[in-house]
Formats: sequence, C-alpha cells, structure tokens
Amino acid sequence: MEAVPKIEGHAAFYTHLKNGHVDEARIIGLENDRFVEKILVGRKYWEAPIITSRICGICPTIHNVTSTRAIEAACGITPSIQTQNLRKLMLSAQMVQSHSLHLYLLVLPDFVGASSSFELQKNHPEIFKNAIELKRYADRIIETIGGRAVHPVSNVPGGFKNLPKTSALKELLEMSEPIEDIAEYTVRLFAGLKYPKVEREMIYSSLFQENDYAIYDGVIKTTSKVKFKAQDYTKYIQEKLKPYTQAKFGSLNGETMMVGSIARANINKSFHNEKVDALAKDLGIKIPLSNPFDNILAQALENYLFVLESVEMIKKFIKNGTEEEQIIIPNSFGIGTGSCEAPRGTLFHHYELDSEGFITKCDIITPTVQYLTALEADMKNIEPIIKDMKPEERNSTIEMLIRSYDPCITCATH
Amino acid sequence: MKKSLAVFSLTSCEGCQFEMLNSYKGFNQLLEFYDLQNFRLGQEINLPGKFDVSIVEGCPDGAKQIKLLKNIRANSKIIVAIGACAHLGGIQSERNQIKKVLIDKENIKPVPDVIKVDYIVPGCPINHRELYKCLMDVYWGKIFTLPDLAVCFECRQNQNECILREGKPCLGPITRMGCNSVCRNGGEACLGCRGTIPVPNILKMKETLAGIVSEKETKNLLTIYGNLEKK
Repeated sequence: MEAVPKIEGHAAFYTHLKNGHVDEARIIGLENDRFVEKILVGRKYWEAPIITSRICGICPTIHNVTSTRAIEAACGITPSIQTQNLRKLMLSAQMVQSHSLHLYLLVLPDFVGASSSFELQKNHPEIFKNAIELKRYADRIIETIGGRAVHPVSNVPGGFKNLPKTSALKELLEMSEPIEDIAEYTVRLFAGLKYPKVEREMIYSSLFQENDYAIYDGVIKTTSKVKFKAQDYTKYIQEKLKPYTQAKFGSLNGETMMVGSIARANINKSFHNEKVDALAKDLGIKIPLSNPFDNILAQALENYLFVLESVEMIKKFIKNGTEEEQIIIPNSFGIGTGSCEAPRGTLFHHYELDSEGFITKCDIITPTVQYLTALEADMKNIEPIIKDMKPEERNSTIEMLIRSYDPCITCATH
Repeated sequence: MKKSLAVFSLTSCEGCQFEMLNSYKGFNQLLEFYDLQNFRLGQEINLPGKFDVSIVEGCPDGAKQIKLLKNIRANSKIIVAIGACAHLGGIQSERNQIKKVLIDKENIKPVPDVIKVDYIVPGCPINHRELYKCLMDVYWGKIFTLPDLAVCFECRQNQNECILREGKPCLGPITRMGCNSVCRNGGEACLGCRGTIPVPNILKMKETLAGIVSEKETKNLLTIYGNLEKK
C-alpha cells in the first residue's frame, strides 16, 4: 500500500471499479494511533496545550489555542480581551501558514505539470517565491506572538506568558506590505486553474457568529439547519471506527458532512471583508460553492482574508500597545469544551479535571475525522470523470481530489 | 559532488519536517550539496536508495515501522535521527508509563534502541539551524557534535529570570542546550525536549522539584518527551 505523496501524514486510498462504477472507495490512514487522549490522563491541566500541540506539526497553533480555550472553560476562566486578540492573530497566521503551504507546495504542482514543489521552484521561480513569502510572514507572526513557529510556547491557560515587543510588531507590519498583493495574486492564480467538475449535495458545518467570519468563537452551524454549542458536541458529532484503518470517521448524527474552508465560506455566505468579497465577485466565484475542488478556491480566498485581517490586527496592537497582564490562575476545576476553526475545519477539545487540576478525561475531534466520510463519498461521486480514464490518470485524479480536501492524517490518528 | 539525501517520517507530528523548511533559503543552500532523492511530504518521485544520508523523524511504532527503519539503516551510509520522537520516544512514549490495560500496545522505542544512529539532532521541534549544521558537517566529513552544557547557560545569556528561583518547575539544569532557551524566552519553562546533558544530576533535580510540585507531577515532568531518567 503506497502512501499518497504531498499530503500531511501517511494515507493510501483504494477504489474498486466494477462495470464502470466505483463500487467501493476507501481512504486508509497508515499512521499509528499515538493515544494522545489517554496519555494526558493523570497529567496537570497546563500540560494539555503543550502536549496536544504535538498532535500536528503543520497546525500546532490551532491545537494549542483550542486546548487552552477548553482548559479555560473547565477552570471557569475568561481570558482578557488582549489575550483573545493575540490568539485571533495567531489563528489568522496559522490559516495563512497552512493554506499557503497547501496551495503552492501540495496543490499547485498537480496543475502545472510538476511532480514536486522543488520542480515548481525550478520551472516557475516567480510563482514559487509567493509561497515562501506568505509562509515566512505567517511564521514570523507566530514566532512574534507565540515564541516559536512550530509548537508555540507563550500562550497558556489564563493568558500569555510573554508579550510581543512593539519593535517586533513594526517589523511584521513592514513585512506585510508586499504580502497583501501576493495574497490577492494567489486568489487570481488559483481561480484561473481548471478544476475537474463534480456536483453533489453536501452538508457543510463551521463556527458561526453574526457579522464575523468566526474562527475563535461562536456556535456550530450547519447547512442542514443544525445549530449547537461546543459543549454539546457529543450529541451531534459521532466518531466511528472502520476495520481497515486507525483513523476515525465522523458524522453529523449519521449524516455525511464537510468542514474546512469551503464549509466556512458556505456557512458565512460572504467573507465579511469588502476587498475579499469584491475580488470573489470580480472573479465570478459564486457562493455557495458545491464542487469539492472548490475547497482550493475557498482556501485561496481565506488566505487573502486572513492576511488582510492579520495586518489590521498588527496595526491595532502597534497603535494601542500591549499591556502587561497577570496570567489568570484557576481556582476551581471542572469540565470544559473548546472549539475553534482549524485550517481544515472545526476542531473540538474536551477535558474533565479532578479537584486538583489533574486531567481525568480528554476527547479531541479533529476536522479531518469529520470529513473523511465525505471524502470517501466524493471518491465515488467522481466516477463520471474517471471512468473512461487510463488507470494512471485515474489514480492521479483521485489523488488530486484527496489533496483538495487537504487531509491531515497525523491529526486524524492522534 | 552532491551527496544523496532522504527524509523519512515514522510516528510523529511531522513538525520537524516543517521546521526543516522553516528557512527555505537555508534549505535551498543545503540542496546545493545534497540531492533530495526521497521526501514523500514534498515530492512525488521518490527513489528506494541507497542514500548517503537519511534523516529519520519520528519513532518506530509497531513491527511494520521497525522493519522500515531497519531497511532505511541497511540503505543509508549515515543516519541522522531528528526530533524528540526519534531521539527519546516523544510524547507518545508516555504510554510506556501507563498500565497495559489502558493502552494495550508495545512500548514505544526511540530510534537508537532499534538501529545504530550516527547523529542526533534533538528537540521538539528541532532547531533548523542545528540540522543544517549537522548536514554540512556530514557533507564535509566532519564529526557533528552537540553542545554539552545545560539550557541554563543559554538562558542566562538571554538574561531571562530563573523561574526555579521563583518557585516554579523547570528542567533547564539537566537539559542539553542548543535551542537558545527558546521556551524560556517565550515565558514557558524548559520541559526537557532536547534530552539530558551527558551527566545530569537527576537526583538533585528531583530534590529541587520536590520543594515545588508533588512526586506525581515530578514524574510527569520528567516523562513529557520521553523518560529522562532512562540511562
């Protein structure tokens, strides 16, 4: 079983064609379960964000922040506005970090006939440079706010252990000038690519808040008119084990659902940002999006949105300054759930603490788990396109579909 | 002449591979000396070997990965194990401390317990500069060495306040430096991800921690990225 190249983590796929019909489609995670939820039991509450950030090397920041929020909920802590804003800035940067890598290094080579990002770099250096600039900008934001680009250290339950210096924020702002243009160009670039056309019905789900493109806070809303709070997630989202893989398969009370960029775009119906909405309109991108490959477009638009939002936030921090604050120490321990929007969709962390603050139960539901069922369904829905293809072309089209979902198998098999 | 390079990933978060790409400029300079022949995360065409140098991230979990690791050893002149998972077992090795009823799987073994490793670049995640230095030393036939002093040395150079003195737990005194005390600079304690210095005074460390946290918490601290008490 060969692992699909250029996705986060190891996964293989299997499709079975019978008389021109895809009668079976499986996505098989090849990663081993690391039992993160079990190894946390018996550890102190503050260790949760540190250890869970190690679930994933491409999206450690979102695990760190979601875990922190869940622990705060369990301790009855409401973090300061400044803390919340710093986290929102980190999450914006996390989106740009993950989306820009995925778009340029993993997706784009498929469309320009390159087998790798290195080949893309050699043949299209001017395009490739954009990826590096975007990622460098996002890395520097997380380094400045969180202390390190991979596995940040400063954000903890109750606040930030270290605050960014104004001089460092000013450097970020200087850096951001060409980034806005690059992010806009990126949307145009990806809108100009030709994607396979697949139309199907799908339920989308993401965080939602009025008049905001919510990623840090909000209720979970779906296109099937379900609305729920993070702490009620077990009543709506179920995980199922399948015999052929260690990755779990999620559902919305038994129904197949999709989370991530495309879901956020469809739930919000707009990006709540004049520039991004105008660009989408200009390029003829109509929301709701219904083709699974549109997730790529939604990522490019979000990438632009979060670059713009990060610049605004950095400007505000420079203008208003940051204030030294005490970390809020918990004085009671209980049960708490947190949910934030990860680059790939809604992430849930849930903790139960004993009276001394030791973790007695932990549950984590990652976005990839929530959409693996949809991915398998789409591997069947793609049938009209692939049935007349040669096996090699068929395989690479299925790989492109898998890549457009941007699965994170390391997250799925935590 | 370029040397051939492969990057393999076992059980881990793959963060060290992303840290390896942290400075794309630096990584590109490396590729003037190395021909990247196997790198699943970044390319489609991957050769089976043999390789002059193989980088291994993650720990081998289960028979399949142990077989793969042995195969990598057989096909590589030099093996560089990167990150806490390869070096110490990583966060998943905590299951070695947990009763088998809860997690019915074999113990996690770090890479050096399974195959001979030529060099280790430690940390969770690694420091990309240290990896580049290691690969350049290997290229020129030099012996790459890690600094032997404790994180406290760098921490003082960075003029951080000592949190042990403030009565908060920190593993700086027994942990190998080379990270530029990045966690302390960010306000967090050192939690020992780079493994211990050559002769760590674990007894004294435990004695110091005993005045701050409970015995259970001390044990937890010493096993976040692998068992630091293990000889």
